[in-house]
Amino acid sequence: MDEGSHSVVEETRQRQLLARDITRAFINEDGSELVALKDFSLEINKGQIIALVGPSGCGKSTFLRLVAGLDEPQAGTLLYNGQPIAGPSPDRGFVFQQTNLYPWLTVANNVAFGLKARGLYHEQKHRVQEMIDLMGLSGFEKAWPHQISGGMASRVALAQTFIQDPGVILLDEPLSALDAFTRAIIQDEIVALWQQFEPIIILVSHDVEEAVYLADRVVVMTPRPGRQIADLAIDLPRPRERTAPDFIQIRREILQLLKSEER
Amino acid sequence: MLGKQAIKQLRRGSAQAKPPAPKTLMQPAPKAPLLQKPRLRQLLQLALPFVGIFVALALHQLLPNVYPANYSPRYWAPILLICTAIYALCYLLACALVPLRRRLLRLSWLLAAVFLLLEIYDIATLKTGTLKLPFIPSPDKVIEQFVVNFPQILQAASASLQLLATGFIIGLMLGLVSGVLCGCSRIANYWISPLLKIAGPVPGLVWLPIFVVGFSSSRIGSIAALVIAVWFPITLMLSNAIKNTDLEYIEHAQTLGASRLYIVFHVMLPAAVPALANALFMALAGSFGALSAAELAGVKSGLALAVKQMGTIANFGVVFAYVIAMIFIFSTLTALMFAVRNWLLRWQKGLVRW
Amino acid sequence: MSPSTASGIFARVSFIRPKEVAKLLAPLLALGLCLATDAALPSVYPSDYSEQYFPAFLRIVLLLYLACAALSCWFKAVRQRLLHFWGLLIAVFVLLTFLNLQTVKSGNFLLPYVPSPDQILGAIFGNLPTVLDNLGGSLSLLLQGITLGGVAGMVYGSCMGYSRFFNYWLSPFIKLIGPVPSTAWMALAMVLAPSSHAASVCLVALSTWFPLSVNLSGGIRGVNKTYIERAQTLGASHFFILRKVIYPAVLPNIFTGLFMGVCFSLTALVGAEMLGVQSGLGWYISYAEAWSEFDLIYSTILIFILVAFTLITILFKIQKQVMKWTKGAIQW
Repeated sequence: MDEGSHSVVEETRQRQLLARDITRAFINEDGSELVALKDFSLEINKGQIIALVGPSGCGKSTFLRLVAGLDEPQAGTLLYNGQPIAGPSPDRGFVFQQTNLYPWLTVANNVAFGLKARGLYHEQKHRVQEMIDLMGLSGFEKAWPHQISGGMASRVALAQTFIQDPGVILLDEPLSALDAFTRAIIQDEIVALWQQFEPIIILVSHDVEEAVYLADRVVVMTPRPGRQIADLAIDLPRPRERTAPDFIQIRREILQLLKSEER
Repeated sequence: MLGKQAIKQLRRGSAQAKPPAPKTLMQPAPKAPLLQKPRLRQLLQLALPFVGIFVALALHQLLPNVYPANYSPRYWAPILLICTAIYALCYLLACALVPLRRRLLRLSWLLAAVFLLLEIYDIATLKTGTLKLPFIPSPDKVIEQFVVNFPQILQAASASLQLLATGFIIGLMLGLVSGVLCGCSRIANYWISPLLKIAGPVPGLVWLPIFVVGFSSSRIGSIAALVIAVWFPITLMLSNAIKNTDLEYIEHAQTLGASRLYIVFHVMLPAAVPALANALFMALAGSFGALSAAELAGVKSGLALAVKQMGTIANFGVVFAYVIAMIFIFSTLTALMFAVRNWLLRWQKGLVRW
Repeated sequence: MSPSTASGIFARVSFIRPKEVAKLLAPLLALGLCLATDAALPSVYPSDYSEQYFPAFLRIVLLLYLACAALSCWFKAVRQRLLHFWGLLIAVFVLLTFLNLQTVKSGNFLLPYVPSPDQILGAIFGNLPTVLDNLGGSLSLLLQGITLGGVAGMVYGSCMGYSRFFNYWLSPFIKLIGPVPSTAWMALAMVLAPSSHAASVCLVALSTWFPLSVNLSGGIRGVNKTYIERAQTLGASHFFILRKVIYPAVLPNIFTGLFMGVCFSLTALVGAEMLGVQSGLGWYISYAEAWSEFDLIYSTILIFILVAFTLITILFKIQKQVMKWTKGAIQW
């Protein structure tokens, strides 16, 4: 460790999640190199919702996978609670883009999967039912995933992660496959869950409105190589009004940023 | 079963234009130019089979031949030398050609191990007599028998292959027709499926006694047994896959104005291809079983009969030679089948690999 | 499966439509035809032959059918079954009548090649102890072999699917050895194994092991990556992922492999019995063939069909029970 490491650890005590100069590149099929993230830095305070927006290939999902511990950066520091991230952990939950629940488990068993994996199921059995009730899934405990709607599947996927009470929750476009109406409802549910469990939430989205509606901070990114071009604080009170002038103003700003980068 | 998965994957693929970046990017090996100079490590690894061959050769030459007494091996050393020559040629080519090099690099450990194992076998038989004659002959003896009996082996193999090809092709045609019929028509399914369930799982050896009498020809009876072994899995799995075709696909085609026949050939059959590939595997392996049964109890010719006859008179050198020929033919045919199937399913990920 | 059938065998029938009554009665007509021709016409071929088993058999079938038909007035499940099978039942009864008329009643079909239904039944019930003995021997050999091969296939396939290292060293072996049918190994197995029984068990095991390993290892390598990553982020250990994610995900492959394995091991069983252990149903067939006792051959084939059908039906019933969550598995 270098001499600056002490202060970095101090900083992350407050920051909780700290990424500094992260670089991650992949080899393409034709042998060329694709730099997904280049010198990417981000600091996240306790209990914040951060939204990463940007076009495909700007490294948003790569960053989530790095935080989840499913992948490792080639350079840079990635600390959580002052500790470097090494491998996946139940304290960093991940809701995947494709909400493919385990099709061989019922809704209740899907929700309980993490507890069973960690051997906590017998102690905390009651929490499964609580979570199911909280997400409005009561009555569907015994249903198989192929029998429920897309919105419900998203709720089960959220419940599966939130029941672990993780410090960080990574949402990789969890609602992109849903219709606008269901999406709006589940966005409110995510806010409610966040207020109850108070984790850090990192949300990756193509949808600027969703980002502004949910996040405390919106980080705008550009591809090739993936880097950050803006970090906007959203100081609107919750519950937010999508048609409020402030909301629309922020949305327009972000869209303009993205557009100007495209040119 | 596979069909359903394939359709789901198809649909998933079409719903989202781009899969998450890291997964698709990490899997395939980078495409390198055709010609490239090898690195030292690669050269060393490529040389591993030489080590195996030379160790085998050295042990074979140095150790005395003790079992059976007064036996002097004539074939094993020349075969090893021929292998050396062939591999040397491959080695030189692999120094230049990248695709061949990659394949040889993958095989190098395996080839080295094979030669060492064969030498252990040589030591266990010829050099020490740990494994006794007549049941387990030395590699030298097996190769000698292979060379001496080569015309007979070739003849038996061609007889086997002819019978197999006839039965397999007829069975495949019948299976495709009845599979499509059962899949599309309730009435056909009602009458064919009981027949399928009754006749299908019963092995050829059981049918042969009555088939040979019933068709009053051992050849036709044997072909009939083969046909059942192929027809059964193809019909069962194909009809299932067709029945399970996603209704959305069919309705979509209907709204586009497709006729029933068009839907069968352009929607249902393509959707059933993964299941068909699975069925082909079972049909092929099953037809090998039926083939040996037919050779033993029906036509009385071919590889399996030769193995049995030579086994009865305890001529195990010849038995081993025939078994080697069988292994070669059957594994080559299976590999070919998997190649066809990989080609058919080149759009699908995660199928049963060979 | 629709909820109406799922609600149980005891769902009561409210009313029966006339068309359904006709369908329920039609097989009775065919059965009556069979009974009437059998009773009315004299047995002429071979001369001085008197039927022992067939009339009684037909009466038992009649009684069973009447009982089922009576039950079907009250129980929906029974009625649905009968209404499904009515056409097949008629076909079976008509064929039986035809066979009976052409053999024992007229001699159009010659003995010994085509025996009458009565002779086939006689071959079973006349030598019941021998038949049961052979059946028991075959079943025990088969089950031992399938169990051994199933365990071996699970282990081999798991290793090959889970680890690149094992795949490198194990797959050439299975590629070479697997496709060669067990019947062809017989000559070698008989001398290499300590006893002919052990050789037969090994051959049956070999033919289960091969398709199961190939299907399982391919399945494991094809498991959706996000299933595993999701489990990792939820805090599951390697072993937990193997048990709760990978094995459930490859259950369809396991059952396909087992289905192939059972079919192949039936072939292996008959081969082993004919060439090796000299007992069991396979041996019984070759014995009957040697003595040209075709009634024995037919009756043994019937028993064999029953065994094969039952085994595979049980396998698919288990599959249906274990894989409730899926649609579109192979239906039997």
